[in-house]
This record gives sequence, C-alpha cells and structure tokens, in this order.
Amino acid sequence: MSKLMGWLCHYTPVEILTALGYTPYRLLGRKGNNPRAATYLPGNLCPYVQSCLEAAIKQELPPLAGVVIARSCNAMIHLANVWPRYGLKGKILILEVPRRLDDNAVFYFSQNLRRLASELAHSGERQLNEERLWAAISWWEEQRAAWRKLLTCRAAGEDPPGGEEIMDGLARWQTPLNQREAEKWETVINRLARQPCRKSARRPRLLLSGSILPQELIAMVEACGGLSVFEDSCNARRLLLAPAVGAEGDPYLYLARLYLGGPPCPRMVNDREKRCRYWAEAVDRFHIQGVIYHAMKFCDAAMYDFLALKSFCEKRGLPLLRLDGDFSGGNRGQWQTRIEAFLEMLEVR
Amino acid sequence: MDIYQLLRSYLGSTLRQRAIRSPWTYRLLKQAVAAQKRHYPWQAAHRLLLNTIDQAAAAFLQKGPVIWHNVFFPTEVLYGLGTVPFAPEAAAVVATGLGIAERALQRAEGDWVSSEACSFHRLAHGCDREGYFPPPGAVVCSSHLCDTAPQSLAATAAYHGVPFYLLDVPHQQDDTALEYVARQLKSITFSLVETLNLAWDEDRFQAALVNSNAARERLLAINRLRQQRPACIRGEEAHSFIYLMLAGFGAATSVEVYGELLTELAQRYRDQRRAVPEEKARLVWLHLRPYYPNAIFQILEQEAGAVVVCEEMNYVYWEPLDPERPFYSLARKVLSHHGLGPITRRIEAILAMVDAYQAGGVIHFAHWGCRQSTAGLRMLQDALRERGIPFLNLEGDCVDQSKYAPGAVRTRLEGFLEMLL
Repeated sequence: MSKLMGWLCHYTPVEILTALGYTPYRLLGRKGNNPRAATYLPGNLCPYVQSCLEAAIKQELPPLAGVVIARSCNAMIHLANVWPRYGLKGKILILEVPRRLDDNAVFYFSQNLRRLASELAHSGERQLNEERLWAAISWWEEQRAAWRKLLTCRAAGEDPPGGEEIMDGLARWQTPLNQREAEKWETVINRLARQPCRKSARRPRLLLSGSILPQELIAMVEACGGLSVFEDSCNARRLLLAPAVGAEGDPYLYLARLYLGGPPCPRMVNDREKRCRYWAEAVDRFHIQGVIYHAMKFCDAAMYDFLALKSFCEKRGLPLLRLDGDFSGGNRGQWQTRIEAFLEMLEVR
Repeated sequence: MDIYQLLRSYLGSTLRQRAIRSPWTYRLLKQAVAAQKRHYPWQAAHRLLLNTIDQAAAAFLQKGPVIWHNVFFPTEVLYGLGTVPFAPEAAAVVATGLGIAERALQRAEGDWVSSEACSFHRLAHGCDREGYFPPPGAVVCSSHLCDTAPQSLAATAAYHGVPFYLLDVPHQQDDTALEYVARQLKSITFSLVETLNLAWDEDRFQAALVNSNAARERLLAINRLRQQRPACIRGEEAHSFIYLMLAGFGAATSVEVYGELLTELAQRYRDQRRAVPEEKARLVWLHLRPYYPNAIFQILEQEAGAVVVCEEMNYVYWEPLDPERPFYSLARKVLSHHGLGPITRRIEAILAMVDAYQAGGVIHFAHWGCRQSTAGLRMLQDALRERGIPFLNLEGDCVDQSKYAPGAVRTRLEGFLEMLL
C-alpha cells in the first residue's frame, strides 16, 4: 500500500503526516488545459484547483494513500466536495483552517489538527504519539532552516542560485516519491548551494508575488534578464515557516501557532498589515527593484491582495507589473512582451 | 410613479452626493412613497420600502455609528448594539435601480478591482469611492460562503481607516466550531462597544434576539402558506423581501413587515386570489435574481404560468435563538447555514424545498463571480437528475446590466419551460 499522502494548501501540517509514517506529497498541478475537471467545476474557479483535479482524474499522480484537503478558500472547499466523487480513490481528509491569528483561532486549529492526526491514524499503522510528532516537527524545522539559510544568501547578493533553480529545488522537495527520497533533502539543498550562479548580479532584482507561482513564469522572468530573488507564494517562501515563538508543551498547539503565524497567505484578511510588513522586510533586505504580481485567474484573495500590494508599491515608489495567469503554462507571448518592457523600464531607472 | 424614477431624477444631478446627505431627500422620498400606498400590490412591500428609507436616512445622516456588514453576518449583533447597520452588497442593488451602477463599476475597474470579482462588491467599491455610501465607523464581516466579501470589506475598512472585524466561520458544525464562533461573536461585540464608545445594554441586545425569533416565526408561517397550491404571491414579488433575510434580522421593523405580509398572504389564500390566472408549474429559485429591468419573471410567471414558489434565500435554516445565551445561539445560527459544510447539505436542503413546495423544477441564477453558489452545481444537477427534476442554470449578473442578453435568456427559459410543461 502506498505511503504517499497528497496535500495541497500550505497550511497543511506535513509534520503530522510524517509522524504517522506517510510521505507528504504536494499536488502542484499540471500544465495544459483541464477539460475533464471543467465538467465538474465551473470555468471561473481557481485553475490550480482545476489542474489538481484534472491530474487526479487522468491518473497522472503517483499512487496516493489519500489526500488532505484544507478548506482554506472557496476553491478548496469545492474541491473537497467533488474530489471523493470524481477524483481519486483513497482516504480524503478535510482540514478546517482558520483565517485569523489569535489565541482562539490557534486553539481551534490545534483541535482540528488533533482530529486530523486521529483520522489519519485510523488507517495508518500506528496511533500518533507526541514524541513522534515532536521528532517530525524538528525534522521539518531542520529542513526549513536549511532552505531559509540558502534563500537568505540571496539577500546579501552572494552569488545566489537563481529563482528558476530555487523553484525547481522547492518543487522537488515538496514532491518526494518515497521516504528515502524525502530524506535526501540535504542533497537537493547542497546541490543548489554549490551551483554557481550563471546570472549577472547586475540584473534587476525582483520580488515575485502571488497565491501560487508557476515555475515557468520565474524561468521566463530570468530568461528575459531579470533576477528573481524573493518568491512570495505558497509554493515558495511561504513554505518556510520560522519556528513559532512561545512554544507550548502541546505539539498541536505548537503546530497551530506555527502555521497560522507563518508568512500570511492573501486569505488571511485580518493579517493584511502583517503581510505589508512582510513585503517591506523583503524589499529592504533583498534590495528589491521591482515587483511582479502573478494574479491567478478567479482567485478572489489574489485580486484583493494585488490591490494591497499596489498601494504598498505606490508608497514605496516601486514599479509593479501584474500578470494574469491560468496556471496552464499559457499566456507566454503576452507575458514575455510585458516582462521585457517592464525590465527595460527598470534598467533605465 | 416608479420610486426609482423619482430617485433617479432627484439624484441625477451634479448634486447627487450632497443630495443623499440631505434630510430633505428622505423627507421628500417618504412623502412620495407614503402618498403612493394604494398603488402597492402588497402593503408589506410598501412598509418595507418606508423602513428602508428610514434606515438609509439613519446611515447617510449618521444618526448613529454606521457599521458596514456583509449579508451573512448575524445582524442581531448590530441591532442589539443600537448601531446603524449598512450592507454594501444590498446597497449595490439599490445603486443598480438608481442607474448609477455603470459609473460605479467603471470606477472600480479604474481602481484595478478585477472584473473577475463579484460585481456586487465591485459595484459597492465604486459607489463607496464615488461618495454614494455613508462612511463606516467600523466594518464587520463573516467569512462563510463568500471569499470576496472579507477581502472587499477589509479593503474598505483600510480605505476609511476604521477597524475591521472578521467573523471566521468554519464549515464544521461540531462543538469546537460552535465554541470558536461564539467566542468571536462575543469578542467582536465587545470590541465594537469599546471602539465606538457604545453603551452596552443587555436588554436591548436580548430584544434583538427576540425580534429575530419573531421575524423567523412569521417567515416560517409565510413559507408554510406558500407551500399551498395555487400560489398567491409571485416569486418576483416575494424576492423583494429577501432584503430582510440579508440585513433585517434583529430589527423590530422586520417583524412588522413579515407580520403584515403574513396577514395579507393569509387573506389572499382565504380568498383564493391566485398569483397567476393558471398555475402550470411551480419552481424553486436558487441564489439571487437580476435587479435591473429584465423579462425573466415576466416570461416565467406571467407568460408561462410557471410560478416561483420558493427562494433559497428565504429558506429558514436555523433554530430559534436563545436570548439568554445570545452568542452561542447566534453562532449556532451562523453554523446552520445549508451552504456551509459539504455540498450534500445544500443539496439536501434544496431537495427538501422541492418536496415541501411541490415544485416541478429548479432554476439557479449563476451570478458572475459568485463561486460559492456555482461551484457545486454539477453535484446538485446530478442529484436533481436522479429525482427527475428539471434544472436550469441561468448564467448572468445580478447587478451589471451590460451582461444581460434578453434574447439568449428568453431562449434558455423557453427551452426549460418546454421541458417542464
């Protein structure tokens, strides 16, 4: 039986999956159109979600023991509705994720995490004990710390790996096909760290932001002459949660605080100020010269997140480019033209 | 005289923003509406309009702290605090009637609010930034069902520099979720008291819950009457009262309106005054309807005799509130919404409506940008098909008239009616 457990939203506590003996496998969607998913979900719903459903229906995913779907936004809520009926066989676990960060929300989320662990354990080989969970928490923190260290070298401008390589490494890190592969995370990071940067440090330094960033966008930005030095998305920086402050003795409370207190996703409307501080810190620390926002089509949170970022960039005098995308790998011609023009504009500044 | 025509003429000048802040506007309006009483087919609708004018006057003339809320937030809290609730989504409907939607939508587009977003919120954004809405003292919003409302209202709160309170509503209906929501409701309530310097009056707060229960009882009685054949109120007429579900629970005036509607409706059932001369089919209407002039109900009800006998938005999904335990019972109400949780809950609720109202068909109006309502349609359609119930998904936009295609709508409705009749 497969020990791979699928997950989608970055608010999914992979530590619990690891502690129960599963290998967490992130569903990162697929390239191309999603004709079969479109028969189950309306066309104007998140393309990332459609893409994951399409991959499941077409059996393009590795064999999964199940999938954890966090009800983190409307699209995920509806994916949770259709997945059991039209998607994949195996266990479906639904996780409620609060949209606030306060003691009440942390406590509530911790209860949900406890329930998730218990539901997963029913089909797993063992019940989850707290020692194992703490061990998994430490293991994941070790990995995240290594990633943070690698990515932080880009702040200082030390011969960093480019965004394309980083995104590729992060994607591989999120999609190990078995536990042995998952344990080779150091190899992935070390290889990246040793990789000489073939990109000129004089290129415009960019912050790329969005709900989820398509890898091909970053590749295109760098092919056009930009340097992606900070990727604010749920498949990049937002994965690298820093250890929670005020760690409690209860691992579920710890995890709840860790995830809710991480870099905020646009869905956390109550945390908008925190999100602005997050951008400000990135801009200052990484010497950002321009910002590109990838607005995922039909993502309500991203639409309004862009407005907040626009206001932030206007105050800071930072050039901002918005690119709409449907996660299909399309839009290349239009993107390229606009990125080239944007980079030209940055170079003459 | 059409009330919207009167308003349009009054607000159609360059003084429009000033006009909505003048007490004379509301006096004039009330007098004009009061004088037209006999011309309203339903006196309850007339009373509702007068009450709405009073509420608008209170908001625009800042007769108390104005609190913006989304239509799913439990308004009992706001009435219980003695504040002036203002629902921008509902006000967007009025803006459509007043003919200022086009300009407001253009403003939203100019402010980079994506055209993929729900047009209720785009319109509300435009109206607010153009000065057509009363500035809020605070903004409250619940997260359930709709992703856009919290985003849009948080942006509005930031724009006006006022506090924003999010009621985070999970999809589970268990005790932990109940506790989580109840605590938030209590915290939001007392934060509003503190921030807006309100006087906490427990009796008033409990009275809002009592009013809510009374309104609920009357609405249930109305719905029970509407389950009888033949229909004595057309769906187009009944739709006007949805406003109370979205913004009126907790107000004494809502009890009056429902009470009056109940009396009138009961009388009509006694007199057997039919809604249409020959009732050929009975329909359940899901989600909302377009609020600009359109022929949908004319085609369905007047031309074909297919009467909308039940609106999803008029469905009473919650149990009575307990004024002694206000926050827990309001939390229970919020969590009871059939749109929360797995889609099977909404499907069960809709099938129950079909049975209770003896409906032969279901129409869903798929408002552009409303992902919460449309995303689960495939499963709903499958469930209805299994029961042999004809279903029409009518795509359109509730407030953006430019998206209305009369020919296409007629063709789709006629196709559906052919199947139905």
